[in-house]
Amino acid sequence: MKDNPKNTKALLEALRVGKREAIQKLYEDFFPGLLLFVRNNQGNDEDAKDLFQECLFYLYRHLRKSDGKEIENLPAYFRAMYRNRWYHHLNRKVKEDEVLRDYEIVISGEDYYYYLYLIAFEKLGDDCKQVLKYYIEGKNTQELARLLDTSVDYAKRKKYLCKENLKKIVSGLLQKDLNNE
Amino acid sequence: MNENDQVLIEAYLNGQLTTEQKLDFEKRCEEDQAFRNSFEEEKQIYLALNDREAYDFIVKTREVLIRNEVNRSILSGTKRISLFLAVCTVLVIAVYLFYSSPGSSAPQDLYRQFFEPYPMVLSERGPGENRFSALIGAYDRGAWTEVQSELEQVSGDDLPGALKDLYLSIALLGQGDGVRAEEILTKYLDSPADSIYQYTIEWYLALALLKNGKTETAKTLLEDLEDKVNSTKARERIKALLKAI
Repeated sequence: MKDNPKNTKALLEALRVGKREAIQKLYEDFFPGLLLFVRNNQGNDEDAKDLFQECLFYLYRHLRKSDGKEIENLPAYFRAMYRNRWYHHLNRKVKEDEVLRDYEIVISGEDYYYYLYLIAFEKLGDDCKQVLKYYIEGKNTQELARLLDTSVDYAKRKKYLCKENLKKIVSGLLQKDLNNE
Repeated sequence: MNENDQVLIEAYLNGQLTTEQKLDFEKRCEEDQAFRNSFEEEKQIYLALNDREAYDFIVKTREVLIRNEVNRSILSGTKRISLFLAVCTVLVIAVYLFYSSPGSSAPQDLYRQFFEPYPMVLSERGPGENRFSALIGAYDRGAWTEVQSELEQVSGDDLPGALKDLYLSIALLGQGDGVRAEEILTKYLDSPADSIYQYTIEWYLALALLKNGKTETAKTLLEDLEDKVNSTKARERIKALLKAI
């Protein structure tokens, strides 16, 4: 991929607003290298897809919080990010000669949990997704019961169970990382 | 966390507390570690789930990953498909030359002579992808009613729309239902699919038109297609059908 600064800026701007074409472009440019890296480091194709989704999300979050001006070399930046994240998942210390010195990328705990909760929400059943959407919209228990066409007690319990389900999925994802020790 | 605290935290996050209640809440967060921890967890959930754009971004990324995986499967089978099509074309021409005579079959029957199911690309997927085993098995056996039923349950994420329509039309033609096959494929004349499918779609649409007795329309479509296709074998197949009409 030609690293033309103008192209990079336009691409990052498109990614910042969540354009599908930008995601596709980044997939075409970076996924093959990422896939090869993961396969060569104890991972499989599903791991590669998860890693790509995770890293792309962090880049998106970063762009929404700052303008990404410091990203002059996008390939190097993305490579540093996915290598560091993969080694984190493997709980490996990065070897000296593997460190890409151009970028030191730190993923904050806040971003990490943000990502985990969104992934966990994606994995919920449709009924729980709907219940939690109503919760986020500020619907109280009575309104929830009316919308679900059920009793107040059931609505209360359903919301509780859906939240617990969400937290359980996040725990599972966290445990997966811990188990790699 | 007890139920009252849960309700209180949710009300705080939804901006439903009075100013006085908010101050009491924030004071409690400072003084009660356990309560603050519960609040922090609920806040993380609330902020994440409230970010519709972030969630949409994750969904779009997943869709791109799945769509590209399907395209990679199709492309990896292209060489085999080309060889298969080449062999089929030679066989079809041979059969046609052997059996054809002046005053050949009625157009409505011609579609059967030239009907050959397009290879099922889902067969190219790796081990463990047994979700589609019923569909693939039915397709291999030519059990077209079952293929139709299985296809109606496949989502757009698993099979691009144009390819799904193509297989559905093949299943319908296999059952002799040219009318529905024509209905499904006609829209691709105005809104062409990816080039990898479009010519194949037009071929099967021509067969459907023949089945439905629309010989002249089928002929025009085939003549146009003959000019567009790059493959010599495909062109010969189209020529053979045009000669037979």
